[in-house]
Amino acid sequence: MIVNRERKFSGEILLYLAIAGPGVITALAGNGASGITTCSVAGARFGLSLTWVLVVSTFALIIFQEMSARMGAVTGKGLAALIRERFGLRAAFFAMIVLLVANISNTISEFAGIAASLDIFGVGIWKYLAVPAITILIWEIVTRGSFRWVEKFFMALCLIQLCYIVSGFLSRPDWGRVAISLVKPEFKVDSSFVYTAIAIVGTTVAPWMQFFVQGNVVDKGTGIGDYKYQKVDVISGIISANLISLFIIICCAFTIFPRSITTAEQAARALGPLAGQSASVLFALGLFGASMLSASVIPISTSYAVCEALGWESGIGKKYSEAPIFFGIFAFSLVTSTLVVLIPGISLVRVQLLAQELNGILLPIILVYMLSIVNDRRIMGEHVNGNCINIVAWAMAFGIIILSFTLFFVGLKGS
Amino acid sequence: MPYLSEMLGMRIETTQGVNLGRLEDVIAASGAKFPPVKGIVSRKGYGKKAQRFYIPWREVLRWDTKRFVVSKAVQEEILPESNILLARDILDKQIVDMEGYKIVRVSDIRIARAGGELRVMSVDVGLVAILRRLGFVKTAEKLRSGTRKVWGDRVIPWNLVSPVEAASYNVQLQVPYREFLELHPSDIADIIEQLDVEQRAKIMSLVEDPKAAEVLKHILPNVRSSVAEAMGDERLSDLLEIMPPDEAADILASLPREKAQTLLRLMGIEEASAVRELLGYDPETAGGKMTVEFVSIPQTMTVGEVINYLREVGRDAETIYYVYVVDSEGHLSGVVSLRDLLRASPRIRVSETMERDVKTVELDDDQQHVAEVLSKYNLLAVPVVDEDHVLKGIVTVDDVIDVMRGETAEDISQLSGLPFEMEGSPARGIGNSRRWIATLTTFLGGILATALLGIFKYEFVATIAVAYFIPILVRSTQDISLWSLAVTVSDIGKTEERRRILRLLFREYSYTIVIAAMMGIFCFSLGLIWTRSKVPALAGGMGIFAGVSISGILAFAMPFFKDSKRDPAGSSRLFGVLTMIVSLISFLVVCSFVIGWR
Repeated sequence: MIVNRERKFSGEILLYLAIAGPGVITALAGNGASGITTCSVAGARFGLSLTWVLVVSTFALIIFQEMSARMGAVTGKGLAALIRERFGLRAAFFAMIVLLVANISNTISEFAGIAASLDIFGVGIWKYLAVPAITILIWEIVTRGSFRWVEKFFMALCLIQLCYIVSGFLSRPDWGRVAISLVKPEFKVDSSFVYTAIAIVGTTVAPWMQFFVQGNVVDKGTGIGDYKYQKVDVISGIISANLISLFIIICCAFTIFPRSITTAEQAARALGPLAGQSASVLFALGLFGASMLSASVIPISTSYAVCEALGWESGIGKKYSEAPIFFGIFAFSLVTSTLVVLIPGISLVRVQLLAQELNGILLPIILVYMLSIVNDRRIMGEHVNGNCINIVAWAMAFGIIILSFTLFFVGLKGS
Repeated sequence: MPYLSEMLGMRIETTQGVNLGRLEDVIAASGAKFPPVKGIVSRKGYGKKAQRFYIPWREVLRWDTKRFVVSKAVQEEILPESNILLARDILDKQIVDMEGYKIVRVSDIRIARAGGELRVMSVDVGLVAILRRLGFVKTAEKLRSGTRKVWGDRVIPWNLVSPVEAASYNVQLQVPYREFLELHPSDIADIIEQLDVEQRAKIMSLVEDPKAAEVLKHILPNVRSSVAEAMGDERLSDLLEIMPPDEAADILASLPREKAQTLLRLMGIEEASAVRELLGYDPETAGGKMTVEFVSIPQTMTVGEVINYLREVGRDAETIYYVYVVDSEGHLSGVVSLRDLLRASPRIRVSETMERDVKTVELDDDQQHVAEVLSKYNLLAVPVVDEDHVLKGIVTVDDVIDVMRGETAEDISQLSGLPFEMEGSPARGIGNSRRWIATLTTFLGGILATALLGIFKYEFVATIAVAYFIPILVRSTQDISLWSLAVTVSDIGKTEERRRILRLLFREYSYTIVIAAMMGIFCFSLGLIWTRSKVPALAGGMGIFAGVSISGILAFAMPFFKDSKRDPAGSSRLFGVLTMIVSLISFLVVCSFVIGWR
């Protein structure tokens, strides 16, 4: 009997490993350049005061991504397809236009992250060659590579983010204070404090991640039978991703704080004299890996979503002529981002803010769509949300909607 | 009112003007080939308070672009088992083919009046339908009337679309293959072109023999070879036997040599020898284009006998409009058209009514020449003869229409750098991958050029004025090399003789040198005016001369690299970027040399 149990147990681990991947990748891809920037700014300006916001947004992200993953497992369709089928063409078209614009801005800020990290490594004027070369590399790997290969590439980029944990330790944090800050909310009546808090939520719960995680679940073909493993994967992915965000805040809080910075690049440079050159390099390396990961994932997930909603052929395995619009959107996002980042003297902070504002417009729409779909018995059958999760989810959605609008109007005023 | 999208949301009233809400759905009977509309559903109010009315179609009195007028509404449960709710079950759903392969999404449904009823005719899956649904009705109509297929309607007839499970939300549609097989061969070919390699072979195996040959014939040539390679040799050789020999030869010519040899061995002796003979000719000549399935008769036949003979052989011949008259050794002695035959008395011999002055082409005449002959003399077919005037075959006009358009497109493509498709019009779609690749190439070329400028930045620091000349340089080298390219493609492409080619090249290049010198002098004087100092002006002038004259050489080399199998537009684009880089390098090197020397 015991042997049997063990065998079954190891079998379950294998099954978990087989399904694992999408959750970790999605969650870590969400930690792109904008996430890292926000967290370093939060740590450098406000020390540990904002870590509790990270905890709350982790919780929100778990709830929403679990819903996305469940929808994918039950229907076998992507979120964009469900929106089109449930709300019709106009709604889907509108959502896709906003998603496209938001994601191109997101991609631009990821490319800005790539360029910034290259700058720290002293690439200098050669970035005019290096960034296009990276663009081509991303294109080649994503379009030519087999699914397994692409996933390994993404996983490697995920592992680079472990750098942040190391640089977090290099900053010699006071763990007791960290633990307290996680559970003890702090408020300050200060517009930039509120703004940074909102930005943390906004970068953690990015709208495109909902599309991406659901698409991944559909691609893996996980049925509702194996859903419990999928759920573990999604949740563990989110937790590990936000753990890394936490380490970024910690790292900045115990070294740079209290100082006013605006970019991740500044944070990496400031780390040099304070925590040693290695911390600075690791920080920049992490920024590079995270930006690369998001820069590869965001454009392709946009292509998938748009083509799915409007009924165009899609799939990495297709030929260019078979899925022209799919590859067209992918190429357009990459090329536009490369071009914008290479414009001399452009303010990339401005682009990042724009991306966050667009995310802020899109997120409420997507959340309302998601909550209506996940509660539709005709679509989800018996797997609709329970009452408890619905109350929490609507409350979270409502909170995020208010935060998004605040962010949007603050940004509007600021510009 | 042909579209569901236009009916949805329309006001519904009774004859007394009582508002019954707006049209929410249209109900069609399932099962029928083109299902009749059975009724409409109207909805009044929103959310939980919404009232729904079911109105059988017989109660609809009249309708125009604004409202439906109905005699009465029946509020009853609709039985979903036997009916389809078009908006709920079909609209916006994915169409999946029999392998579960996602193809497209239903963007609209077309309904038409047929036999006193409204019937669902087809689902619309094109871009135009999306535009129409989004409210850009006028734009959609304009695009629809265009001739381009991409923008035209993409419509799947309803009889090919059958909902698997009506009334379930997860309804998927499929194209069942029994009905699929009733399609016209060219439609099947269109569908096959859309699929991937394995599915192509799978579908080909479903189609029965004579039809499969037709399908194979209609598939685009580049796709056709991949389909043929995926099919079994036995099956393919059977199909090749059924086909007219010229088409079989075309297909064989597009396959790898060993595969073609194997297939020829598997074919019947008679068919194989006809194909083998055709394969011996260059595919771009009259011999390569011709078919051997023409009607030829001896001079001794009477008109009546000929007509009887046509009844027998007419089935297999490519055209029966022209009947060729040959002597005992096969020499072509005349032609008689079907019109002449029908008008002449059946008793007389054909030799008395035939046209003796026959326009012919020779076996190795270029296809372009064949096309010219056909269009000049307004013929439907032209006979192909060998040196001894023995009739070998005919080329029909439909075989060379493609040639005429194809050749023009290729020339234009090479010159403009725009990817023209085989139909002879430029690829306009935003999704065209070649367009993206082209843009990316240019972009990367630009980056490379900028990087070059970085290497030579010391010279710029010394005399920033040199930079004034770069736009002139880049623009003019493009223009000049395009001119040279045009000349090379049109003149040199036609001659084979080496010495003549060299003379042409020499003449062209001397023009380029003269232009380069003139531009150099012009830029030198312009530079003097701009900068009021000699060094940058001299550097600029000499740089321009070097840049233009050196990149001019590239234009002549270009056509010789031309590979007919590669995309001419792509190589032209690459050529443009190459010209830019080479001219810039020459310019910068000469400039820095002049500046450093002084």
